[in-house]
Amino acid sequence: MNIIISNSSNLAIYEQIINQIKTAIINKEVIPGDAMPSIRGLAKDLQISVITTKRAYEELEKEGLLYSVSGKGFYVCEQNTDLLKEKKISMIEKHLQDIINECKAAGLSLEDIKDMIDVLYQDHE
Amino acid sequence: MSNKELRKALIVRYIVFLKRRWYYLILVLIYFLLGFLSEVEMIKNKDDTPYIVMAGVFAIIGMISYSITEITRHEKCHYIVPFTYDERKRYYLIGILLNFTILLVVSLLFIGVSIVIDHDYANIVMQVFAMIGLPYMLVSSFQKINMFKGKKKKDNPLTVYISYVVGVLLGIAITIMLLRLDYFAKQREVMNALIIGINLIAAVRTWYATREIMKGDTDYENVKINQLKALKKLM
Amino acid sequence: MRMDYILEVENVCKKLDGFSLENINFKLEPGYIMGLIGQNGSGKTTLINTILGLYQRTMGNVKICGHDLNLQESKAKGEIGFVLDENPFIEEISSLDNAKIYAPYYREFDMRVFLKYCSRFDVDPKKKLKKLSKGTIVKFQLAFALSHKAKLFIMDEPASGLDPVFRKELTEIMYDEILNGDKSIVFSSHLTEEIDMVADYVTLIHQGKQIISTSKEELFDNYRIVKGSEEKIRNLKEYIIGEKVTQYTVEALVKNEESILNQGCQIEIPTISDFMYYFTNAKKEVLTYV
Repeated sequence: MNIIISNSSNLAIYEQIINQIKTAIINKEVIPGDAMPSIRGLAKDLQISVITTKRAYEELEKEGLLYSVSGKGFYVCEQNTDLLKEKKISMIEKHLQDIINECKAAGLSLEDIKDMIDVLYQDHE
Repeated sequence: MSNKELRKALIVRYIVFLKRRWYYLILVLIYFLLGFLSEVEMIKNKDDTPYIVMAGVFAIIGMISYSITEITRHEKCHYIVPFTYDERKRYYLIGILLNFTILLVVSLLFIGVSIVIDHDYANIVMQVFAMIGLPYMLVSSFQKINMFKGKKKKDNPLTVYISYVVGVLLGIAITIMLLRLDYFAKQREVMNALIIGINLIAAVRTWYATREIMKGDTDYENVKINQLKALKKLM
Repeated sequence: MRMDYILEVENVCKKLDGFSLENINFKLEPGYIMGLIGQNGSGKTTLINTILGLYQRTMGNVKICGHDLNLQESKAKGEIGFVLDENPFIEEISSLDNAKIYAPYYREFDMRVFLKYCSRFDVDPKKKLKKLSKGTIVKFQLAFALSHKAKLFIMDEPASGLDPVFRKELTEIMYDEILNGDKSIVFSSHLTEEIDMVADYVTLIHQGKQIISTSKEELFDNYRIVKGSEEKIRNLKEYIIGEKVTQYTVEALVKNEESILNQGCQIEIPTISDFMYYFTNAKKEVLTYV
């Protein structure tokens, strides 16, 4: 599992970590029972504050994606990956709605939007 | 820290500084050597030169004062490392005792040596060294002011710099005087008074400075300010 | 953990000639790093000297690992490893000689550990301190501080005088010391990049007063930088901590409330440098409700 954070993103660092761990879980890069890097070890690797890594892990624990063992660290929970995927999709839908609103405000038509998606999707591959 | 640990710490410090100040040790040894050689001379010739004895005595007081000043070096680190006010007091006192003991041992050593040896010109040479010793102490006791500061030289107040310069000039004046050796023979009372006076001032200043350091103030910043005030009064 | 906090600073005040430090309050748990920021002359060094015991505080309490700095002086000071901007060691002698002289005051000092660090940091232990560059003297102090099992590291502008290569190594060392969760670090810096990266908590001092002391997470949660036209920024007046008007844009640090999104300004997460700038220049009324 690779976690890469960006200082120039508008997402708080802990949110970036949460997203990437969620993605890793969905993509089965980590499976239930796997140990997460220690909060301090991760903080050192990413060169960030340990409070940030702790926060990310605790959020994920609240959401039921990780569980903690006192004195040992955090581990991946048994997942209902379908549920996870659903959550992810509804997040994406919300993003899309925002983008569509912006496109409309900029005067773009549905065709324009579709074209844009085509181009960007190809690029990404 | 126990007294034993303080003594060990003190000895470590002395060894470190003696390695640097080895010339100081040689100067002290020559000083004492000549001092006691002249004592022998005086005894042999039944020469009535009480001022040399006095010079010797007060030179010793001067050296002790100098040593105390050296020991009560105001180290910034002492206020940061685990070293309480009570431990500092004991550290200084142990240092003074150690110095006193060393001086006594050296003195006894030279008394023994000088009784055996004989030197014709020891008298005059001793006078020369007595006088050189004084300006050195004058200049160096003014130098000790820097030790009370803990800051870089450019932070010194003007008065301190002026007295430093005065001390150096005074030292040079005295050294020039001593080169005119016949002056010694003719102006004994003046020489007497001068030697006694300067050694007394050195002793008083050291006592004062030591007292200031020993006082209850454990704040490094305030100790500096108090010592400056005390030193300014002395000048 | 055998104690709740490695460092407790309670209502600490220190009056000096022409400057006073007032009501400094913060606590630091084991395993965390506190960054002290503020302009030159704001009181960071005075605060650090007061925590070290170099200055006697005029008021308030300082506790290191639960030991009161005055009542249990030796125990408290024994837990501190220090690296200071104004080198307190004796300049006329070498690193090794300095270590020999001051090691006896610490129960746990290990000379071999010290020499290993000197070698790792490329410090010649036989050279006189006054012949060393500022950066090397910092490295020596660090080697000394790491040699007596200290629990609290206090560093005053440790990065100044260090080349970027060693600055990175210093950051690595700080992370390593924190790894077990039983040691803490307080360091002051006006290089906010270091604070941005490694600090968990931030305390901002300005003109002797503590403006804010909180975790970086809280800072990043509660504030935003907005950029836009003068008009739009003006509409956010009630949330503004401070603003900066340049030829092309107006920028302001605002409280992160829902309503700031309404103006259509560009919104960014502030950097520590932003916090320092805006809080230092903020008007008094603004600071009271911070």
